[in-house]
Amino acid sequence: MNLLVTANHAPFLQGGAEAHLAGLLAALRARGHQVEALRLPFTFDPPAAIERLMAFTAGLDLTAPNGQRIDRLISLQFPGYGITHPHHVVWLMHQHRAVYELYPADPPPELQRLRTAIHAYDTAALARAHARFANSRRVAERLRHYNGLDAEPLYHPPPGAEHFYTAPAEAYLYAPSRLERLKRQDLLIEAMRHVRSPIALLLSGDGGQADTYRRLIERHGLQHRVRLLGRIDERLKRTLYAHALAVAFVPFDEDLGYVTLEAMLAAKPVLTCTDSGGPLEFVRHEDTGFICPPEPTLLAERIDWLYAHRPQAAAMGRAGRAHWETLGISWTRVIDRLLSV
Amino acid sequence: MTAPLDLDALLERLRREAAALPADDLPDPLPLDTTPPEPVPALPLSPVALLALPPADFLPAAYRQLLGRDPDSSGQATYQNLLAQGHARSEILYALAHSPEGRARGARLPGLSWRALLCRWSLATRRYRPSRLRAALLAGRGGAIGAIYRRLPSSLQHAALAPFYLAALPSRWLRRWETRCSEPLASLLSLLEAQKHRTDGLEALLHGHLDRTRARLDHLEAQSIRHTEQLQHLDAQSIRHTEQLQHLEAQSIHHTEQLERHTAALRHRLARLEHAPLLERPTAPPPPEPGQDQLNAFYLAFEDACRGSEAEIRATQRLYLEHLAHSPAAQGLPVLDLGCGRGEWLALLTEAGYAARGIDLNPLMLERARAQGLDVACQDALAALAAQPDASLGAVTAFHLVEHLPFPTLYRLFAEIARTLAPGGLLIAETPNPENLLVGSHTFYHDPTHRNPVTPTFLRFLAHYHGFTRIDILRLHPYPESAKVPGNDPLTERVNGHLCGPQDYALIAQRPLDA
Repeated sequence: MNLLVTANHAPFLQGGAEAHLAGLLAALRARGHQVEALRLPFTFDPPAAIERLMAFTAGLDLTAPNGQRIDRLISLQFPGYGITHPHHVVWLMHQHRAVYELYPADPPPELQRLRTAIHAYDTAALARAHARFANSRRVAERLRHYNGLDAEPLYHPPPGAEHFYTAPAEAYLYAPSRLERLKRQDLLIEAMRHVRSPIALLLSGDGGQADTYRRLIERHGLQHRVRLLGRIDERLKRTLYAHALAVAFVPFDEDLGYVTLEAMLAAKPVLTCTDSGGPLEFVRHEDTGFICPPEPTLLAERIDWLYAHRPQAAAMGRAGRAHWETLGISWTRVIDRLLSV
Repeated sequence: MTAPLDLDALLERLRREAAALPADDLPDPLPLDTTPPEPVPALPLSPVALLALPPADFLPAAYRQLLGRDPDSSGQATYQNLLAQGHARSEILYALAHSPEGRARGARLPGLSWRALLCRWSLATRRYRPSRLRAALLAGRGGAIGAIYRRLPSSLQHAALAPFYLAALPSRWLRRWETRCSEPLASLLSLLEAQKHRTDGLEALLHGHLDRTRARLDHLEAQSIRHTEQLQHLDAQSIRHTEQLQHLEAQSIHHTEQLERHTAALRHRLARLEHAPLLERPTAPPPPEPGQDQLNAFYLAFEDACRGSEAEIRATQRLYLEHLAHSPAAQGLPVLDLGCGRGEWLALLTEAGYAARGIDLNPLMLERARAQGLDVACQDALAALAAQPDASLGAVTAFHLVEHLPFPTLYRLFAEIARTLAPGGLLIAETPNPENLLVGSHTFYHDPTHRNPVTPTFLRFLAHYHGFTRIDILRLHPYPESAKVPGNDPLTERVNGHLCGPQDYALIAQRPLDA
């Protein structure tokens, strides 16, 4: 089939979205399809830029560009799903979060206008789609809640899933993520002030909050047990997973979160929060990890427990891996499902 | 794990482990040279290096080095002999290089320098070496001097040769020099030997790897060929399927065309039938099919069992007489009862003084009716109407007939009734009422010759369509009160209405007076 995949392009911002798109393209190509990606330059600011892009996609018809046949148009992000195509399949990674679940309590007027425009655009465009899938149950829930539309949750494996391995635990907690406010690494750093066990916190990833977090670590004098490793290569990441006592992942309302899945692949218990979104679809409290209120002292208690009960922690990790096996998450299934509609 | 934290050491360990992990992506395949490597040429030894070789290796190596060949047996013997007599290896090399063969090849001896002179001297005086002289003299050579020598006591024999020991001196010096410089050379050579051994080992290893890689490549190639074949096979299959599809499509088009032709023919025939004059239609009923007698007997028995007794039917039909009183039938125009059955209604009509005639297709029923002296005929309803002139009937009645007829027949039946009724003439048609759920879903199907329930709405419209006026629907025969659910709240009433309401209804319609 001739397949066109649309997604956004925010130059030099690396994250789950990039990996998701790359994985989808590779999996479609591996099945012998002709695949091309259409990437829309996306800037978060100012609102007028977003409105221009919306107007552009709303006016774009890719039914048969230049007489070329496109069997399916697959869109992953806002606003690509507004492009016109009779067989438009949306696999929603997330919507424009700033006007949905991250909408501030006291918004400036231009954001209010943008919100109205995007809600109308999304509701109309997504209702028109030939089929709707969501990256996770959480994303489907939001779509239902804000736009009154249903979507089928469809999970995919994290990149390089087959390369993860496990090894005996060392005395550290591993927390990989971009260093952004939504990922809330500060909760973990604060928690480390209250942890009594001789255990370290290793944070990998880069991002806008790197300096803030560094200063926070210094302010609390935690340099000897909390370390920002910066951006690391995939092999070191897997080793850090393999030897961790547990993986900490405490974002606010994550869409899906590869970290949870990667921790399960490395047979490690996951420490997450009650408002973390995506991870809650996978972590089973007190079985494969802990779901804890977003409170540093409560997180610290769990960390101390994990250190004091290392054999149980390892068993929880194994339970997580076993749970992964039962989920049957694979690109084969994803592609089967996406192309079956 | 309980040791105090040393984050740097921990990270160092982890980094080392990570670095040893296989990379995600396979490196580009190495360019594999499939030609075997050229053999390493034998190390060319400098003449001086020859001095350090083990005794057995020296002469063959010297020959190869200087003359480019293996030693011949006489040469080998001669030089072996010289060495045995105490000559130095340098002298042998000198002799070989300066032999006519050596000179022809331009053999050179760099490194021997001034010692070549010693060699030359030593070789030139080789006949005068004490050992050689003594052996010759003792063998009886040397003439008179030899005889004198042989007579000397053995101690003097040696002393007598003392001057000739000078001739042996260069050999001794050369041998001493050789010993001095060959020691480091020997160790170097053994080192080289060891190195070569290791190189050979590595080479063997490399060849092993190469072989395995080639085997793997072959395997992959075979796999790729297999996959290509499978793909080709699939391709061929797909082509076959496409062809089959095209074939089916062609067939389907063909069938559609046939179907259209047949439809057209049927339409044509239907049109002909519809436009044929009514009187030309066959008036005789179609001959009963084989076994029809049994079916008729069954139906009579069924009617007796389920339609109700004749007396009951007569009682319920009595109310229609009131309607007839205001119709042209009252002035003497005949009443035609279609599907008269056992003749209950005809009997009522006759008793009331109407001129009534009935038709039915069941001879057994008709027999019963005739036995009562009623005017009946075995006739098809449409045929019976067709035989009637326009506006000649006072009323047409049909009890429980319409639900037996296919729609085209029913349509024509109404048209014919409209034609044959006199102005003001009445049509009375009674049929089961499907508004009652139990009738529509259950009792209607007691009779196997029923086709489908006919709703009051439909029947009213059909009459209206054919020009009838003053159309009335009478709902008849509700369940007895005792069968109803007690109570009069809206729900109970609705339940009673749907389940226990009228089981039949009658359409009563009038041919317009000014028709």
